Amino acid sequence: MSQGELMEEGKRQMRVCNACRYCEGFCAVWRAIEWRRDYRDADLAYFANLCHDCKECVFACPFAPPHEFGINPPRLFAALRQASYRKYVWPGPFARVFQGGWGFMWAVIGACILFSVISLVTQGRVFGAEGGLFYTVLSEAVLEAVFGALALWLVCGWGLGAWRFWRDIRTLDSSAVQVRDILQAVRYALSLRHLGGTKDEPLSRWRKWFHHGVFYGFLLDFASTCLAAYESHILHKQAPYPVASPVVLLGIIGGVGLLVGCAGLLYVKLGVNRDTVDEGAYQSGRAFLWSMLLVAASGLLLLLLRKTSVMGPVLVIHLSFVAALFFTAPYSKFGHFIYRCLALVRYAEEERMHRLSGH
Amino acid sequence: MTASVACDVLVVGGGNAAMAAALSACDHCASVIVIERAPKFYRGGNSRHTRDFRIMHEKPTEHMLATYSPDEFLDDLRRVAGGEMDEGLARLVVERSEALPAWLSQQGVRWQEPLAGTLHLARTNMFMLGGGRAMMNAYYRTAEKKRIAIWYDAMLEDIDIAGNVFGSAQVRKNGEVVRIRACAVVFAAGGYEANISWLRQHWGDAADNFIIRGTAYNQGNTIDLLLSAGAEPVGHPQAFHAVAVDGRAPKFDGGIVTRLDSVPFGIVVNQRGERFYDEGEDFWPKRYAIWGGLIARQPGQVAYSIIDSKVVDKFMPSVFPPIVASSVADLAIRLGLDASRVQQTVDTYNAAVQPGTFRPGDLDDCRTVGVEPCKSHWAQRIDTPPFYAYPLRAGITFTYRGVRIGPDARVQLAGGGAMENAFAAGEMVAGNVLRRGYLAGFGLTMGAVVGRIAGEGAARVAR
Ligand SMILES: Cc1cc2nc3c(=O)[nH]c(=O)nc-3n(C[C@H](O)[C@H](O)[C@H](O)COP(=O)(O)OP(=O)(O)OC[C@H]3O[C@@H](n4cnc5c(N)ncnc54)[C@H](O)[C@@H]3O)c2cc1C
Ligand code: SF4
Ligand code: SF4
Repeated sequence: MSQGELMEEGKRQMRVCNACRYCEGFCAVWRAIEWRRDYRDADLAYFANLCHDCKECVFACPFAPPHEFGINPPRLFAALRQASYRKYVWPGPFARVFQGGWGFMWAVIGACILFSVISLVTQGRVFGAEGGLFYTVLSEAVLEAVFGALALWLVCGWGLGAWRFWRDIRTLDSSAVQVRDILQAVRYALSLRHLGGTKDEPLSRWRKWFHHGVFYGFLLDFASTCLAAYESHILHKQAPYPVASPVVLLGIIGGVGLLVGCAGLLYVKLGVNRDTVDEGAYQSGRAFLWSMLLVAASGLLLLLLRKTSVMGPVLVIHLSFVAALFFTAPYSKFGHFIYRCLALVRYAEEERMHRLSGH
Repeated sequence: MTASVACDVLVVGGGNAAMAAALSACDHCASVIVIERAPKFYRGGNSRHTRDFRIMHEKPTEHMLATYSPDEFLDDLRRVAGGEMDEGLARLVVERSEALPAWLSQQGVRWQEPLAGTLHLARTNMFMLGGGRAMMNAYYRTAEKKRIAIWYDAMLEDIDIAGNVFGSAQVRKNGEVVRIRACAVVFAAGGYEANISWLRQHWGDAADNFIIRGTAYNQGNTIDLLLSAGAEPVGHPQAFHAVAVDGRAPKFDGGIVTRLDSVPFGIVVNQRGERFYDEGEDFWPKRYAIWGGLIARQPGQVAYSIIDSKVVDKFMPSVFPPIVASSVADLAIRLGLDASRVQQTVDTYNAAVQPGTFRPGDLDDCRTVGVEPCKSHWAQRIDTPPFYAYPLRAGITFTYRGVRIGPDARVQLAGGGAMENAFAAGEMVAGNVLRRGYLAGFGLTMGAVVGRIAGEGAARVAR
């Protein structure tokens, strides 16, 4: 389906839903639909990023396929989310290559080669580094340069995407966002209030918990990395840190959260009814979960093997996974939280305005 | 040789009434088979298109505001019944309705907070979260958990009744004939609104132009079988509940979305380009249900709601976009009508509109003088382009013809007495309380109350 056809199909389905409104109690999307009578392309992108794919509506819908109306909101919104990640991302032209699993694998291979070459050139070896001294494989300066560039790339990609999306989903008569809208959106986001499941898909009720595992696991690992940077730069304490140190403990807990969360979400995905998903979105979601899983698993493996002679290759592989994760981040499912959070801010603002006007 | 199976209670049908009966029979220790004519996706007949129950309550509840007393509920029924109502059964349904929400919640049905679209009924009606199909999913999930046997694509074809005792049923399941012997049976197979050839008997060729809002599977052969076996009929054979729906709706199963609320905001003309009824007689929810019958009596069974851009966003959005034109004559041509005739109708109407203050929420003072038929409220000139139109057809919700039951839900016999082990519930007995008119949410409420009584009664007979 072309972009234009997808938008037309979206508007058709929204018209049916807005004449029906039976789903209005399920999630935020429905009220946002009811607040409008006509739909712009950007409104569809907004709804799509409010939808948390719980599937309640499609199983409740008497007009779902095989009915001739063919109403299938989770599938529609998944396709629209994919389209919105492509449309708003910067730089856009590579989106198709890096959105799926293959893009990630190419990035991993590229990073592997790069790190191995750098290691050979600067240190003269990949294997045989001793005693868990990571910097004997890749120097601190190299790591800082590579990951600094990646961080910049990621922030620009996400930042510009966010800005474009935000500009698009607002209208001339949108009211100014207030602090309480943002606080409300943060509350929605942190509690994953809208990430329910449905009894019609037994496993889906677990999604929320696995997602918490991934999200908080990632935050803990991120915190561990920041702490490590602080210790090495400010306190001049060099890695490896002892297992009982905060850096390693945070890393372990976060890594386990990521492992369990990603594996769980992948398992839940196996059980979904494929009629209710968009194939492209499904594959890209799976690819992202695998990439997170590989980062976490290789990280924990590195911890286990850091005192052995294979530390070097394991480190290179782990860093390659991390670098590929960041490199593909503007295109992969990784960036979904940005669009979701912005959609939630917009929703909080709209909700407040409609409460004021009594609708 | 036909295969044969046995159970305590056979339930015919798969909607709200049938599942209420099946679950309550199961709770009273009976082994139950449910036969549903439709395939799995379409299970639940018209019930899958519904949204709310009407519930009596003497105190505010979690999901309902203020109170709704039994007397008020009964008064509301009497008001729509037009003088023909079985008071005893009506009172029973009203009184037992209070216990329904708790029972339905136990079956897994979830409820919605009163929201924008439902607020005006929040005192009298309770809304299922996600509507009728979500409710049916909950019913079926619970039934499966309780090991009730559910057969899809299984249609009752014939019944074996000797005197006043049901013996067995002949069922066509995925094309094969199976005989089910049961100690008791509950019939809950809906009305016959989808049976065009029956509708034809009373409406002639007009029936071909009707839209059936709900399931295509309610063909009424169960009612027919029971009447042939000596059951006492209720309700007039030609009576149905019908509303104005978008003329572009599918023949079957268009459900709630095809309804159109534009009528009071403009005028309605028939194929000849003439108005035929007061579009502003009363509030739309009160007059909504007469328009199906009105349109069914127009040539070609079609009509056209015409409005202008002043009011196009004043009613619930429509499922299909309106037809648009920059002049009334152009609009008429797009609709395939005689342009000069429609222009003349609009001009005459416009000239008759009196000055007033347009207030869509009230019975306002905008009306016409000197035009036949008059428009009593919300009459504004149709003069601001672009102009919009929706084609309208008669959308049939359900039929009233069915079988008589007693307060214990047993099927009554025309020759006096009742069937010993055959019960009925749902749309096919709705005519026992209301033979015309309708009260929003009463269909589900009566179906569930009588279904529960029937299921329990059947289980008791079986033991
Ligand atoms: C669009 C729409 C909206 C409505 N909204 C509401 C509402 O909000 N509230 C309300 O109270 N009422 C509403 N109604 C009315 C309501 O649908 C009916 O009152 C109620 O659903 C009837 O329930 P039932 O179980 O008797 O019949 P149904 O739900 O129609 O079930 C009949 C079942 O019998 C099966 N069947 C038919 N023939 C056979 C056979 N020979 N063998 C086996 N199975 C057979 C059918 O497949 C079907 O599953 C609405 C109706 C429509 C069309
Ligand atoms: S998904 Fe189906 S049931 Fe829900 S609002 Fe849309 S049309 Fe209605
Ligand atoms: S899938 Fe769930 S979150 Fe998405 S629109 Fe439907 S009900 Fe809302």
